[in-house]
Amino acid sequence: MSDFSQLLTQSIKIILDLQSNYIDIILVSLNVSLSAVIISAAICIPLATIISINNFYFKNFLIILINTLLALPPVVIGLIIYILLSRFGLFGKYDLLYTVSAMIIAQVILISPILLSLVKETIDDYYSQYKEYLDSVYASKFQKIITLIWEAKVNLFVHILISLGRALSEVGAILIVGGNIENITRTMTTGIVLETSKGELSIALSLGITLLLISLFINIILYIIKRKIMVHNE
Amino acid sequence: MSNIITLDDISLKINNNILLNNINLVVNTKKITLITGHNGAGKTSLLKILGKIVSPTRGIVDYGNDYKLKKTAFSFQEPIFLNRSVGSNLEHALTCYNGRYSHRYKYLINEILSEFNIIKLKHKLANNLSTGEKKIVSYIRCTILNPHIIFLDEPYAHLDDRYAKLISEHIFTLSKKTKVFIVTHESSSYRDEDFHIIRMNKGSIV
Repeated sequence: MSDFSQLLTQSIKIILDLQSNYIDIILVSLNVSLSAVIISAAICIPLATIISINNFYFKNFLIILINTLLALPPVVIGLIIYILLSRFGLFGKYDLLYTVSAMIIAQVILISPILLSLVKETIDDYYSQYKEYLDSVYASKFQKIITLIWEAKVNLFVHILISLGRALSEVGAILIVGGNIENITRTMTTGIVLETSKGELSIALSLGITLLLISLFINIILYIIKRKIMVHNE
Repeated sequence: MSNIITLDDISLKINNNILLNNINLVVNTKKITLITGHNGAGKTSLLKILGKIVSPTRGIVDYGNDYKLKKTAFSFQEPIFLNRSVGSNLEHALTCYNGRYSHRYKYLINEILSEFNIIKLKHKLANNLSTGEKKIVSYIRCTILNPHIIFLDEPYAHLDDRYAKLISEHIFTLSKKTKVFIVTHESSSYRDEDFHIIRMNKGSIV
């Protein structure tokens, strides 16, 4: 127990020291995850709305495909992107392997099915509520998309935060495509893996605590938003 | 005079429930058309078919030549509002209906809300209004669009006598330039000479 207390004290000291290595790891983590979430949201929110309000031949197949992608193991995605970005791969000429860009690509591919699925479910609800009204005022497809996204904005923001939490805690794919290079592609999760394997438990624990604190912060925001929605609906 | 709307052998079936059964109807009068009947008679379904809000399972809805390219407006039994103020809801309907936003909408909205003496509701959340207020705003949202045909589902429900009279007079004035369809339970106070009355029972016209 005293060993653990000592470990914990050292970890907290590392956090409070705010050394440049520690700050770099957090900044890389936030940079990769926030960029991935913003790109994913910009693609998935309009796309999910378009899927929701349109009936087309492959719609059900597309929904099954999105749900299947939800279950894809991150390491498999990491491996596929590694092969595509490596020198002999399809996109090897862009020299993206072991860069932050490669990690962002991996995270976008990982969180997009989650975001697509959550957004589509929410927009489906809103569309069933507003379809008759929107049809009655001759709303164009574009007006329908804008109206539904605006009406669902609070729920969509909650989905974006859930995706951010998922992105921040991801390790498998970004470890493979990022290479865990110090000060460049090392994130909190890949840092934990490395420091634990080296036996540097206090550094690993300090990164773990930081990750938990960020998750706690995201969940507090989620809680506040959900409470506001509940109060509003009463 | 050419027909306004013709329904040819219309049936509507939802989840194995037959809501409308072999409806044939020709509407060619400018008089207000009243659709009456008991609960579950199919009045709202018929109105939604006439207003092209719902597509029939079978049959054809045909708008006459004079109305083919003209726009309609629909006031629902349970008004549907966006989670915005009354003013924003009216502005949204106008923008969608006319395909673009215009600065004159604000004046138009102020004018019509004042006419109905509910300008104080302009900045209130539409979904927080009382049921009666929602019905009035829903009616206003229809008329402000200036449609050629207007479909009103139970426009007097939940209204106090004062507003029921005001809306009734407004509909009567409106009907001089716009074809009006109304769904109502109450039919005894309407005379056949003044209105075109469609009586419904169990999904059919009687």
